[in-house]
Amino acid sequence: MPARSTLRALIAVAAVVPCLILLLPVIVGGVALLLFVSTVRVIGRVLEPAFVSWPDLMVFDRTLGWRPRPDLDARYLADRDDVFRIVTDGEGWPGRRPLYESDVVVVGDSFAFGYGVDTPRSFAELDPRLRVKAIGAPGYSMVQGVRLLEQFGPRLKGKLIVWFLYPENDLQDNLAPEMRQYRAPFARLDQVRGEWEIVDEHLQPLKWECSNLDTTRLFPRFCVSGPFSTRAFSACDYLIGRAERACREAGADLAVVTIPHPMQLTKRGRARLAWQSGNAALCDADLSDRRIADSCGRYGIALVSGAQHLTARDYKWREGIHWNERGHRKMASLLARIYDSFQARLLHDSVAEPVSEVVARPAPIGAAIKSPPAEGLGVGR
Amino acid sequence: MTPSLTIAFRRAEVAGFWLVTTGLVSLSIGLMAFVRGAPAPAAWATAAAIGLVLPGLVWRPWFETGVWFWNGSMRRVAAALRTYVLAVSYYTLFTAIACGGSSFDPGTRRPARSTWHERDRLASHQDDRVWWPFARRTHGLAAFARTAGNTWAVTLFPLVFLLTLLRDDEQEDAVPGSTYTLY
Repeated sequence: MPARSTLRALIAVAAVVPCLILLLPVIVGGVALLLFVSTVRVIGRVLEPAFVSWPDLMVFDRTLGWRPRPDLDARYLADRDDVFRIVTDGEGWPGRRPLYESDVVVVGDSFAFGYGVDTPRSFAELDPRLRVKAIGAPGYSMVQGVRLLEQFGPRLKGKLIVWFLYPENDLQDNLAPEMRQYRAPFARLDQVRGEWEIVDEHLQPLKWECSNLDTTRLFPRFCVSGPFSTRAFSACDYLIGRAERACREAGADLAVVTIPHPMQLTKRGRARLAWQSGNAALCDADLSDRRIADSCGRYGIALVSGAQHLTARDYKWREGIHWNERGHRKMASLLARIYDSFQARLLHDSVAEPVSEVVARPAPIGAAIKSPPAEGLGVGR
Repeated sequence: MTPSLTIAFRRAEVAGFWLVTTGLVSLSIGLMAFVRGAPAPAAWATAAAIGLVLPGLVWRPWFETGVWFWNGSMRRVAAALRTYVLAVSYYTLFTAIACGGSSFDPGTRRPARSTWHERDRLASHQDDRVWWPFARRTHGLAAFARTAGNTWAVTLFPLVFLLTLLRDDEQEDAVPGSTYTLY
């Protein structure tokens, strides 16, 4: 055996010489390119402000699972994007403005958080005449939104509450006990009582080990009527009802804004959604909006369909999920219009009739939603 | 961090890309002008720099488009070079080494002995974070080359380095090779 290994070594050394000669141009070229790219990266590191890792931005919260760290003024690296500045108040919510100084409270997930833009450039900070307080964190589902509304309770009195719903992941995350290994409160159907409930006994500052790491998005499946989507929309309906009750008891007015996924906003995206749904013939990209409109109608909540106000150009085209600065400007403008309606006491005029019977057979969203009020709010009803 | 020829679309890296590109291009043009005896090489270099950066001042996406073009070009160049490197290695190195025989023992002589090797998962994980092929690892080519009679595998290091550099980044988004599936 030693003789064979020696022979192999000799052959290898003999063979590698012509191989390396033939590969020399590639090695030289590769090293030159690597040198170029490394120089670019070194300059990039010098120019780029230092940022903190994501776990350093979040703290454990016994009822929400996680929340942004209070009194932050730091930078973070957004996934597949860039470095952005985050500023939080004493409670950990984006922006320095305290809740009591605000007229409008926006509750939600990463969209409410202002993920993907510097906090001073998020929708909540753009309109100086509108005092908006954003309360949300990346990865929050509707369950955390409800929890926040219930926790804040009396502090919301007299304010306009705008709840950002992002069906693309909210519908799924409402039912999941974790989000990328962060333990999250979730909605569970009590089989005995036949009622939904929020479960949080598993919340601890420990990783959820059997996470699917948010790799499987079920939204396309929710665009097809069936048991799968029925369960998700049933949980959604329960959470909307609970949010309405929390706001009513607090003496606040609630309006829901649905945020579309960019796929829902283009013909090509809708075709892709239909393909991903597993049943292209029955896929209805607007089903989530209509079901949410149905729930809002039942609970007397004003609904604004973001699909009527946003276009694919308002989203980051490379990252593909969140708003760009243009999207934030548009949302700031929309919030101002919603607030004008609220002040003019026209918000409740835009509450939808329940449309359960419409949901059964897909129809254009405009058909299920009444026309906007004269002020041009574009409110979905 | 594994070396890559692509550049991230982060503002700082885009700026870095244009700084280096503008510097290199203007230097090259300035040198060419100097060598050819042009009257004002510095003016040529400045003009080249302005010509590269000016469109970006008028149309901001120009800077990102440059990086997009670089990344696209690098993917195509890497694909072509990968093919070349593998072809050259196959015909000059692997075929020759194969003549030396195989040391692979499928266990036919001692069927009762398992040929599975237990892997230290923690050490493997730490190993996977080191891309340098000469690094001391607990598994992989470097570890194999350290075992008795397999020193010849050291000759494969330059190839591994090249193939790492020229790898297909998009494959990293695919399902990990370690994922066990039955379909």
